[in-house]
Formats: sequence, C-alpha cells, structure tokens
Amino acid sequence: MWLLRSAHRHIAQDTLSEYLDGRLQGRTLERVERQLEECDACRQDLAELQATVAMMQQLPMVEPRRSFVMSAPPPEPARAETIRGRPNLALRAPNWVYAGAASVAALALAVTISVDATGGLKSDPLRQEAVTTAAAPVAESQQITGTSGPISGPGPAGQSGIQSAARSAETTDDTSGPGEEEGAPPSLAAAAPAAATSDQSAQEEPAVGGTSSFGAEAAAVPPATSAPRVGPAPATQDEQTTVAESAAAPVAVPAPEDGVETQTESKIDDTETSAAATGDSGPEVRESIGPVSGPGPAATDLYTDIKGGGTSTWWRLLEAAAGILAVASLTVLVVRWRAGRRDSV
Amino acid sequence: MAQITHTSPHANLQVKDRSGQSSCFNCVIETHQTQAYNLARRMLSDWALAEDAVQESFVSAYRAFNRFRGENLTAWVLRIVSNTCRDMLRVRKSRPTVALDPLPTGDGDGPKGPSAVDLPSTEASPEDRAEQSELRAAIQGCLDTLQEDRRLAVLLVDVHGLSYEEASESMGCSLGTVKSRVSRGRGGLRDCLRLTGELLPSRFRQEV
Repeated sequence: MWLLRSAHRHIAQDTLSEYLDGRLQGRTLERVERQLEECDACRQDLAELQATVAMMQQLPMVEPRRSFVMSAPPPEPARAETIRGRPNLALRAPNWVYAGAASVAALALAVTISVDATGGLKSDPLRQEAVTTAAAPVAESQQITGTSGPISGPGPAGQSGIQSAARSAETTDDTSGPGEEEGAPPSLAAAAPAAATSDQSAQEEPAVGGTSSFGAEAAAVPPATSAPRVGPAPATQDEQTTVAESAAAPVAVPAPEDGVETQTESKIDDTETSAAATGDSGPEVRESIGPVSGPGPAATDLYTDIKGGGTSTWWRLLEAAAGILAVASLTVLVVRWRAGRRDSV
Repeated sequence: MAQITHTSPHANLQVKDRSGQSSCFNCVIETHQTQAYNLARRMLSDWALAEDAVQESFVSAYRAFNRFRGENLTAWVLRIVSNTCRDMLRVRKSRPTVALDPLPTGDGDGPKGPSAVDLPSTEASPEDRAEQSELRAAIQGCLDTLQEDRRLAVLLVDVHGLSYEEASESMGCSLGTVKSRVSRGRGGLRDCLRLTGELLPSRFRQEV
C-alpha cells in the first residue's frame, strides 16, 4: 500500500492485517514500521486489531452435545443430490460444455432456418412452391406451422408471397401489394404476413378457381392471424405457408401440414379450422382437411405429405431440437452464474 | 490419513478417496466434528441449526469422499461445512428471523441447552464465567454483523487457525480474496467491539 510520509495518513486496514500475520516484507515492512513509530493513531489501530485477533484466537472450541459418528452408511440420495462444494445443480458438467452446446445449437438453428427460408430444404419442387418454409423466427406454436396447409394455388403469386414472408419482413411481395407487410419486424411477421396473406387471398380470389370461399377465409384469417401465434391458412397454399412460417417465430415444429398440398377446398377448411382454433395442432388441421369435401387428390396429397414427413418435417424437428437445446444450455449457464454470484465477496 | 483401526462399536465406514486409498470415515468425523460444529455454530449463530448443518455436511462428505484428492482434509471438511452453512443462511434470509437463544445471565439457573454463546468454562469462578460469557456474547454478536464471507474468513483463519492458503481452499476463492476478507472481517469486528467496550485497554488481556 502506498503510504504518505507524513503521519496524517493512517495505515490501511489490509496492510495492518498482513503486518499482524507477519506477511509483510522488505520495503513495505520498513515503511509500516516507520509509520507505526510516527503515528499514534496507527499504533492504536494496530493494538485494537491485535486485541480483536487475540480474542478470536482464544475462543474456546465447544464440544457438541452429541457425536456425529454414523452407525451405518447414509442412504443413497433419491436423485442427483446437491453435494456441498459442488454447484447446486444436478448436471455437473463443466460450464464450457453447456456454453458449447448452446453455441452449437444456436448456430445449427440459425443455419437451418436460413436455409429453410431460402427454400433449400425442399426436395420436392411442387412442395417447394407450396410450402416454402419461410420460418424466419422459430415457430413457437406448432399449430401455426401445422395449420399452414399449403395449397396448390397460383404459383408465382403465391411463391413470391411465400418467399417474402419467408424472409420475415425483408422482401416485399411484388406479386401483391400487401406483400410489403413483410417489412414488418419479425415479431410482427406473424400478424403482418397473416394479414397480408389474407389480403392476398382476397386479391387472389378471382385468380384462383373456386375461391369464392376465399373471401370468407380472408375474413376469417385476420382475426385468427391477428393473434400472435396463430398462423391460419391463407387462401393460397403459399400464403398459408407464408403465414404459418412467418407466424412461426420460435422453434419450428415439424409441420406435416407444410408439405401438405391441399386444394382450394381443403385450404378453405384449413383456414376455417385454423382460424377457429388458435392452438389447433397440425393433426387437427389435418383431420379437418381429411373430411373436407375437397378433391380427392388434395386430401391424398395432404396425407401423403404427412406420412412421408417430407424434408420440411425433419428439418423442423431439427430446428425445434436446436432451439430447445440452446435455451436449455443457456438456462443452465445462467443458473450457475447466479449461484456463483451469490458466493461473491 | 492414517489407517487407525477403530475399536468403537460402530463401523469404520470405509471410504476410498480419489487415489483409491481407503480411510475410516467415522475416524474423519471424530477428528473433525468439534471444529465443524464450532464453525457452523458461529456461522449460523444457532446451535440447533449448527447440529443440522454438521450432520448434513458429513453426509455430503461421505458421498463426495471419492472426489477427495488427499490434500488437506481439514480444509476439505470445513469447505463442505462452509457451503452447508452458506446455503442455510441463504434459506434463513428468506424467512422471518428466529430469535436467538437468550444469553445466559449466570450459571445459577441450572443447566440450559447450549446457546449461541459459548458454554462457560467449568473451571472458572462464577464472576469469570459471567465475564467470559459476556465477552463471548459480544464477539458472537459482532460476528453476526459481518458479511457471511468475511465472517467465514475470520473464523477459519483466526478461530480455527487455518493458514491463508488453507482458508482459500475452504472458501474456494483466491489467496488475495481471502486476505481481503480476513482483513475486512477483522476490521469490522474491531469496530464493533470498540462500541461494546470490549476493546478498552483494561480489557485487552483475557485474564483479569
């Protein structure tokens, strides 16, 4: 510690303490001893510190009332018990394991989503134009992706719509005006694209054969899609996919419906179903699509996709797993960090 | 640890450390239980809680013995006790504080359970015992005012006689941190004891 030559400055507490313990050496020791000679208050401080330490050293060791010797080994803990001296966590892998897992998972998730968004994961061209996992943010609600039953609608229009939504508010849908809503922040992508989609549906109505129901869908879609997590099916399969994708912010759960290519009628039912049930799971949508009085091929396509799973399903599973792993690893790290902070000075 | 054959009726409770060396765990308990109990008692300021803490600590130590590397056993045991006490203090913080056992005013009241104050010596006169009791009560009171980590540091180094290095093992922190905590703890105790008058020059010596 730096000491002033004058006696006005007392010796620091830490220095006195080390001096007491005989841990000072060399010039520091000389300075302190000189200071003690010159400064009465310092001597007083030292004397009191010495007395305090002496009192502590003379505290007697009291015998416990009972012995803690064990007559038998303690029972095995039911589960991974907290061991004193180890972090309060059942999982005892070092921190770097969780940090690494979180990083890898996050990276995998990012890569998968971006590849997904550009349609790179679609092996089936037909499905590609229909489904286009535009998942920008990971979809938290399975229903969203589930309900997005792509329908064979207007290819180009839908396609662009899908892609724009896929980019989560980056590109605007040149096909339809409302596509611009894609520019909305990803968090709003759910509602925006949905709304846009519904608009698109309305616009595409005339273009799509037998789309009289689209109007109804469009009407049904906004209320449903206005909900942050619902991704009710737009009129066209693209739009449906788009909505589903963009609405799917968190982990993208496998959405067999994505690969499903329902026809207009199926799509209609899809929309109504999804619109009706905010949390409808994919299976429900599928169910609803099944009995839909749509063209046979539509329903067949739907089931084929579901059974086959399709590329999108597995990739969605991967995205979901990566997202969950990342969150879990980060949670473990945060818990440990907080536990470590409690032990700080 | 020396392979002492235990003659007591209870089992030796053989355990193996990390290097595969066998030890008599009950021997470890017998050797360290007084220190463990005193550390816990002064950390928790409650003898009943201290007994629980010691019991829990020895169970933990038994289960963790296969991770003991054969270094300083006392520091290792006291580390476990320290962590147990810290956890208990954390829990206690979130609950309404319980009044401590009343300080014994004298020894004429008959045998009382151990309290936060040290049991008076049986050798001294009643006046001495009262004085010692008062002093120890003051010390415990001042210890209670310290931050947990500083309290622990002062107890380990000044009461239990651990070196700074051993204390840093027990506390799981660096040597510099131990020095700092000991210093602050001592300073805090001194300031507190000043107020109680225990540090008056006439009281500096323990014997009257």
